[in-house]
Amino acid sequence: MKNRLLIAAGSIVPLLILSPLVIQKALSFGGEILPNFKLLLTTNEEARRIKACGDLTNMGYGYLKRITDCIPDATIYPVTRHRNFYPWTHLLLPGRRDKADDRLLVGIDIDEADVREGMIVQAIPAFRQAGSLMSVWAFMTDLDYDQMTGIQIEFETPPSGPVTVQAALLRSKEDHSVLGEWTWPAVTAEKKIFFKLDPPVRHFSFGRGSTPFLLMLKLASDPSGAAVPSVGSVGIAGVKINLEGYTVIHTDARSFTAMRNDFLQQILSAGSGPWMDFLMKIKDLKSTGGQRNA
Amino acid sequence: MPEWLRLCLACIPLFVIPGIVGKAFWGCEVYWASRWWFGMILSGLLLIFGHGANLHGGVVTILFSVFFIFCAVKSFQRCKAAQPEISKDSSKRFEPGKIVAGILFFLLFCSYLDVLAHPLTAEHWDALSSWWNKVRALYFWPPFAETPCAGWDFMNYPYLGPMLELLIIRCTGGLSESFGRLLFPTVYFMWMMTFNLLFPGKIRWRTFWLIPFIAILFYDRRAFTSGYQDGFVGLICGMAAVHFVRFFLKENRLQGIDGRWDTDLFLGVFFAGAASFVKSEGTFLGVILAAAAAGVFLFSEPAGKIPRKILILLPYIIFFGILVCIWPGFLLLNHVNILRMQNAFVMSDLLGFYRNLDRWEMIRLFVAHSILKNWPVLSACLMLSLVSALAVPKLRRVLAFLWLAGIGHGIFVTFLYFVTRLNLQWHLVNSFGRLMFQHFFVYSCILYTTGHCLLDAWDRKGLSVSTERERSI
Repeated sequence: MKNRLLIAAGSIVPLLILSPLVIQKALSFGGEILPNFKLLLTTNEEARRIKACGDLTNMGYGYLKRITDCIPDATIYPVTRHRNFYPWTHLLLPGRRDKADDRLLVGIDIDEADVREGMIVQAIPAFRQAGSLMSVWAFMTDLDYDQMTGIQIEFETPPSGPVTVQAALLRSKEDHSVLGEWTWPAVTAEKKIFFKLDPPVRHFSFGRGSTPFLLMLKLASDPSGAAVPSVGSVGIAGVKINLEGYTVIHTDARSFTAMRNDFLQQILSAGSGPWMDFLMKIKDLKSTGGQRNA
Repeated sequence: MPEWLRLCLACIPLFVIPGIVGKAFWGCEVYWASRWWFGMILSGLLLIFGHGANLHGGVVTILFSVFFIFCAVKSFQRCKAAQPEISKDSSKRFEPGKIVAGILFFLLFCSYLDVLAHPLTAEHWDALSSWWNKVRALYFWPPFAETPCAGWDFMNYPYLGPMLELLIIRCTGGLSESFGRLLFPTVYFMWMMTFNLLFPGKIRWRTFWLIPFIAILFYDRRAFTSGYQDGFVGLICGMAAVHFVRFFLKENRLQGIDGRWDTDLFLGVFFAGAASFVKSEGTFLGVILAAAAAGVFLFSEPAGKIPRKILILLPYIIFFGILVCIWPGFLLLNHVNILRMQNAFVMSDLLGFYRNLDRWEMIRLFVAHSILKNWPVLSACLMLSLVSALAVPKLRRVLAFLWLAGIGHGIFVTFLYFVTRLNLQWHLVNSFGRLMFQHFFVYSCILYTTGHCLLDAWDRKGLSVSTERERSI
């Protein structure tokens, strides 16, 4: 009898705990059956893919496919940039397109701000000591950026005289390879200073996941020996999509296709050929004005 | 080609090929779903061997076709030799086992609808960039060393899943990721079907609902429809676990084992070893599982001299070692660095974990979240285990094995975050739950074995898995 009681209690309590979960899952599973069936009956695979992956937004599958369908070389796909981090849209294209070709650049759902210089992120201090002229700052870009164009430094208090600023950008905490080194001698004393990087750091941040960059800063006062205040904050400026050297040949809502200038010149000077046909097809490709996004 | 026709064609690689290959190697002594699993995995492994040896795609197609024809002939001979009598008694034809199979096949069909209706999106970014990328490349059969590795340079990631997806895609006529992903719900429901072999004999009405109940409880849409391989790793190790559990449930498991291979041990070791072809983490889970089984075998009753037991295990250990070494062997053959596991780790990092003990502060939050999130299942398993250990003593070694494997894998996954090179928080957010899910099969097995045995004990029919009952499957 004792044994039976033990078994009954030991079986019923777990059953009571798990039953709501099973019912919930069964309802959610069952609720999907008819809509899925209806979707399969009323749409084809391509329509479902465009709906799921977006036409001119999201992954921009629809727009990218329309453009690549016109490309005369069946092995390449354009370098594709998105507002967010979706660099794999090309994997969904039919056929064997496995070479990214930077002669063509496709932008999906891109803002004006994405092609201009702007502040990317505020760095956080990784090492900073009171009284020390040296500090280390870490920052993550999250998304892909073509260029790092500047560093904005804000001192805790305005310096009393000109300061010399040295900066070095390291790839990461683990990989100390130097991506850039800069020195700005005798900078005018202001609380907030923007340092333009000339030349900018090109091919700056791609597919880094969440790996932080490290920025090392070293300050020095001018020979007069004025005290140098600590750095209070550091901002990083950059350009997400650098259209320098490209000509936009097609736009549709906030998506565009651009061609590298030297390649465009080459096609135009040749006068005819498959790539000229491509330009004609692209020209004829109607803009949807975002209607497909609805 | 219309989609319904492609779905019908998908049944060839999904059911016909594995079924026939499995039947060619195993007779009625192995449950049909187990044979199917064996056929599926063996087909994938053979294709990987062909690719790893850099054979031309056409040659591999011819060799695989010849192999399939051989299997078809062999399985036909087996079928002819053991033609079952079809019962005219309708009560026998509609036995609970068939109803279980019917329910599971219905759920499988519904999950097919789900897979086909929902293409991969950016939400499944890893499934797209790593796994679909591999499937797509394998479709064009590049040289082994040129298999793509997405944005990450871990070339050494194995690809049993993508190879099987490729087999399906090739048979359905076009490069469509949706059809490839039909593999994952199929392996899930076929694994659930193998629970029937744990307590062979007629499945009684009192317990038949357990399998559909557990199948729905553990069905995870992300894990079994999106193309992520963590569910597949869990399932292949789940197959190993089912066979190890069956071995531990046998009362006469040590009788006559010296001179011959035990089918359940062999299949358990085969599936545990084959996990190393699914994901790098699969190797570790396979090792943990095999080690847990070996540990319980060595130190549990029936008492025997440990050296003798080691001698019994030796051929299995060698077989397991060979299976685990094949993939690294292919990598070495193709000049790939086997010590670089992926971007997050290299082998030498594993020894430096003690330098990062301060990470526990953050890791423990995720461990706690994982436990709390799965608390209903965990608490049910704990409760059932305790009651079963008291009421059904013969189940103790099964429970010891399953809990050892589950806890061992939980510790291993937690350990990984002490050595990751990636941003810790990002890595935890993106992978901790997925990796922990890999040992979900432990809980499924615990729920089924304990649930079944307790209901059995309630009936006072005892637990023994007699040889007579075994013969009846």
